[in-house]
Amino acid sequence: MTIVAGIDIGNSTSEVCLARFNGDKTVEFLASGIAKTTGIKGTVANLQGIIMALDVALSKAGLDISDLTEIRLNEATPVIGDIAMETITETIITESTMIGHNPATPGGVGLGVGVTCSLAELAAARSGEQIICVIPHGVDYEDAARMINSAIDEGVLVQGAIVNQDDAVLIVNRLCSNIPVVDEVTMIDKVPLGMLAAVEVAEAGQTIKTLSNPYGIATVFELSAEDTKLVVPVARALIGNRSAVVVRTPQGDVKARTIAAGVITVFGARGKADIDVDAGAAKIMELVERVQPVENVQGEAGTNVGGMLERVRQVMGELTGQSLNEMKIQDILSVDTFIPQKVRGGLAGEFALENAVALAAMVKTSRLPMQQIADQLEKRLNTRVIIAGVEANMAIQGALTTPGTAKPLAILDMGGGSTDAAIISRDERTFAIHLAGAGDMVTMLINSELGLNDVDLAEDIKKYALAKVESLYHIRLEDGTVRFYGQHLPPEVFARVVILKDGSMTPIPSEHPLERIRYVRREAKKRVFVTNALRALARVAPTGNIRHIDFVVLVGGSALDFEIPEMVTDALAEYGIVCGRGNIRGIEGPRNAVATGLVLSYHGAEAG
Amino acid sequence: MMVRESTAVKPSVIIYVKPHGGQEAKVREVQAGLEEEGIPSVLRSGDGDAVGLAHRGAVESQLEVGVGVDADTMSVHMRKLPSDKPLFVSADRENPIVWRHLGYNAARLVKGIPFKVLPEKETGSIDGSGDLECRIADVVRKLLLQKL
Repeated sequence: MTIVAGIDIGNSTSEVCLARFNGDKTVEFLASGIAKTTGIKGTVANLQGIIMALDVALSKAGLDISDLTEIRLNEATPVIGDIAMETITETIITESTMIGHNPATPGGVGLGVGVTCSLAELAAARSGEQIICVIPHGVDYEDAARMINSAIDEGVLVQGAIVNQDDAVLIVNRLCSNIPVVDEVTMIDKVPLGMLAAVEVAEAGQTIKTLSNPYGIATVFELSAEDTKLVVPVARALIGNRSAVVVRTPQGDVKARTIAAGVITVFGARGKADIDVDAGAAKIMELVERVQPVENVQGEAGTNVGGMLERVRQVMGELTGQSLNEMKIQDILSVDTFIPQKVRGGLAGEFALENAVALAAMVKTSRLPMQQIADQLEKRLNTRVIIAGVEANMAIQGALTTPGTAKPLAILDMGGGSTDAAIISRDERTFAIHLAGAGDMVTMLINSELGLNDVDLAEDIKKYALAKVESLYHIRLEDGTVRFYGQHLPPEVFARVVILKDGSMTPIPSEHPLERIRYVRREAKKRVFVTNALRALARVAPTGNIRHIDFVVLVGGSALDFEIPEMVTDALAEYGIVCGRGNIRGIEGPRNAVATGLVLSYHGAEAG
Repeated sequence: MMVRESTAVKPSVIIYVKPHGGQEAKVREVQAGLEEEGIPSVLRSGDGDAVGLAHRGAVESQLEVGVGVDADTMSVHMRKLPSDKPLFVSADRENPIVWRHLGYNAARLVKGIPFKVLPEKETGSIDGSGDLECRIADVVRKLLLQKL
């Protein structure tokens, strides 16, 4: 009786498949185990995770390490992915000119234009003067209202007000005329006084119309055509707000700067080609496909993209201990995205959506020191450890245990760092490729597009469904179903969008509505995984045509996702491909393919 | 008869106050908080502690939300909650900002939008209540929720 353990060291998890080979060469699978990979894949630090996963499987099967005949490790593909992102536009306000934030409760309604004047100076204003009143911190709403009212009685035309505290509605309710008031302006001291300004507040449920329109601003301030061009970024930043203030200062200026992102040079087997990053993700990817196979990618020195690719190379150089010039980037996935960035010079923490490009890069390193791991493991466990088979071939062997599959078969291994594809033909020939961009890139996109600054939260948004807490006793899930609770929910989650994670609720601390978060999440997944699935299959297809592949099995961590497999299946259905989540050995789901393949290859090795 | 009676009263958050010195300042801030959020309020006086008064207000309010004020504490309550388990309790006797926030959050409870958090530290949410029994009940409830 022989007991064999197949061990697959992945980027994020280490998986074990335990099986018994009986005398008649039949194989009986005993148990599987899984543990988080410790350290970087392919380094000796992996041992701890391997042993943990092995212990899980052994204890499930009621066996001991001494019962093992052989341990089979995969020859891990020396592929490491990394991701980076760079903004390529920037909005800077050189002299405070704009307040574009969205207080929950602005007061009054309409558009007011006048010269800014502090509340204390209001009494000195002349009759007939058009004034925008600036109310600093610490002024009670009743005092503010009284002073404005008396100024109005004196004949001063108070057209609007800018307030530091959350008092807008309270003040407007006490005024004798209805003027627009914007409140919660944190840096009220920085509002320039004695300058022409416009305050606009829209009806509840509406958005401002004048200050979000360049010609609207031009009308208010009587701008020339040249100056109107300069206010475009202001107008753009104010779109979608319910309230806004624009102050015209003589030297004040808002610039939308385009940062020279730089040029990427892609070296392919069929020559090299340059492309400007500003051209957008679609053009970059077109180029990458044209010069296939890619041998290296370089960024123009001294530019953002140059720095970005250099960082990727550096990180991977450090991980693998190889020199920088050996680091050849062999694939990139580029995705257009945007980042809400704090406007420099804003007065109330305004954000502007800046364009950005996200890049995932994949580096093939020389062989990972798997032999070292094998030797150490052998010493530690006192069992024979063998490095068997290439990862992709093992994954295919494992995937073929999914009921309903047959050769020729392609697998898509969607992991955290890279998307891998492999194909096996009827006559057992295999071919595998590795592409940049997978789960980690999706997390990065979610994190940046929602402006979370919290990778763990972004990871959770990626993995779990959303719900909106509608009352203290019920929530509405993202598919519309309602769930009730017997105990009232904690006030922290009230009326918030939450992530439902293992029965607990994590509130998402942002103003984004559920639909928006869901949209960002799904788009990020589509842009990475559907794009990569099509790219990968086109490359492994014997004819280069995806239609000539019949069966595609999805394996790997991201195949466990609650919507990615369906998105890929949906996209591939167009090409008449049978595609679905793998079910290794009919029980494991999309996990354990490589480990299972390793065990099966023992059988093959013995028989052969 | 019933119908006429209920339509005659404007839907509002009911604030119950146990008469005491200095109540005006507190009531003013709570009412300001509600007004800023656009929710009408009605002031009544009664006897009892803040939590009991808040629940009484919530039961009488068409909006099902009440605020209770006594000499020491303030509370925001909702009709559906058990009377001894208010949503917010604050024992802050000094800070008008805390009082204002109780007003904001009573209104936000009606409007169904996320609560406003105090700029410096969290408001006297349930954890902040001084009542030991209440705290223990909360810990148990949180554990239960986690188990669910």
